[in-house]
Amino acid sequence: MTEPAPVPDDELVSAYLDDAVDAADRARVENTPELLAQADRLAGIRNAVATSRPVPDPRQRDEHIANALAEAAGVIDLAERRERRTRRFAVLSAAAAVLVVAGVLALIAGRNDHDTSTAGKSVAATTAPSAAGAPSALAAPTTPADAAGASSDRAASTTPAAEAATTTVAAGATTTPASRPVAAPSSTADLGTIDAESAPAVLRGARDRRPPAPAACALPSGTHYVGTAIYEGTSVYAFVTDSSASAIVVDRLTCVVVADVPLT
Amino acid sequence: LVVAARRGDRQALDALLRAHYDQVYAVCFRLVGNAPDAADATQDALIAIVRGLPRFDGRSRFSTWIYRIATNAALDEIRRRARRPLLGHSGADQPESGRVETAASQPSDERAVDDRLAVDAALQRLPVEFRAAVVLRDLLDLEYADISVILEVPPGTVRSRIARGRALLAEMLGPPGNPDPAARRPSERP
Repeated sequence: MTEPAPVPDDELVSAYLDDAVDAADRARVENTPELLAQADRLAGIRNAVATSRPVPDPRQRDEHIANALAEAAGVIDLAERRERRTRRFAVLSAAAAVLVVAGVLALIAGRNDHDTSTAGKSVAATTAPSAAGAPSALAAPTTPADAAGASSDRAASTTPAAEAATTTVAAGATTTPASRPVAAPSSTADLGTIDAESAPAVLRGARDRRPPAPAACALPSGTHYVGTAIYEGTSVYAFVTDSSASAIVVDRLTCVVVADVPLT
Repeated sequence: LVVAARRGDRQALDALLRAHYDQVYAVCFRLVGNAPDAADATQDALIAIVRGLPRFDGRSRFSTWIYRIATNAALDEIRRRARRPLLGHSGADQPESGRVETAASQPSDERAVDDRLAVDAALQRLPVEFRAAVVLRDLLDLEYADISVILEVPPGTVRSRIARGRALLAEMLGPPGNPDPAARRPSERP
């Protein structure tokens, strides 16, 4: 939105009321009767806004806080579930690592057997069982069932966006990706109203834009900011990964990832 | 309280929300202009606060963070209201379940009450970006730097929006000491 040009005296007097002027401007206001009169008038308005304080209904306050606490209970449960998944993934990862190491060792052993078998059949005969064991050891972690279990567990633990999309409705809590703080204030780069269907096209079109990132929410790592939008009725920031492969859509209110939109 | 609440202490979270509830409601009410929408925005803000609390990193003051959430919840409510069809009285002119506590709310001081209502109505006629800046400054007494973080605009823009908002309020309310409060009360709704 284009800002109307403020009347300089209005801005000076307003800043004077807020004690946000330097000594020269203060002297200018205090030595100009018209500006002092204007300051008195604006002070009256400021006081009227300040002293007119709406007071909520106490029952409504209790209800709102109770609802928020119930929501918080969901957040805590979700965090525990996430922790359990992370632990399970760690155990599976360790098991997979052990199997891979065993497989590599078996392969090395098999290669040695092959080398030695060219040198003499008697050595090959004694090492054949070990070589035969190598394929089964390697196959163990990659059977379809195991692979599906491991990959889905990894996905649940390491893709916050996907998790957010599936858990927000159920438990009302999500995560944001690890990120670095952003210092620069944002400028508005409005992408308009989008939904799951239109988002890829809109965000693909915006992926080369780099307006200053919003100060309020941290920039997801490996992404750049492309603008604000209304996504599925929610006011969001949109970030595109540096590889342009996908876009991260973040709730402006909570800084929580609401969608991870593939762009390719 | 913040640390304990982040650790999952329910009592601390309850106390934290109670400590800030009235300010959150006041911001929402002043921005959306009526009690039902203010209640919805306040509830949204509280939910957003508990959802976001585990990730509050202390880069800003906790109160600033809360006011930012409340302001965004109120602005979202205003956007939603703009998309809603109007069904009769919107309640935009009068507080309903909420009430406005003023220094001069005695029945005998009708002039002061009229003046207050005129200010309330004029505030609702301000463009929302000016209204938000004026409310955060004059209702919550926040510094320009904090308002800059909350509204995501540079401090210079905050300064000009506050000045422009106050100037517009002054225009709408007419000259000080106007003997006819009706003349100082804006006639149009936002």
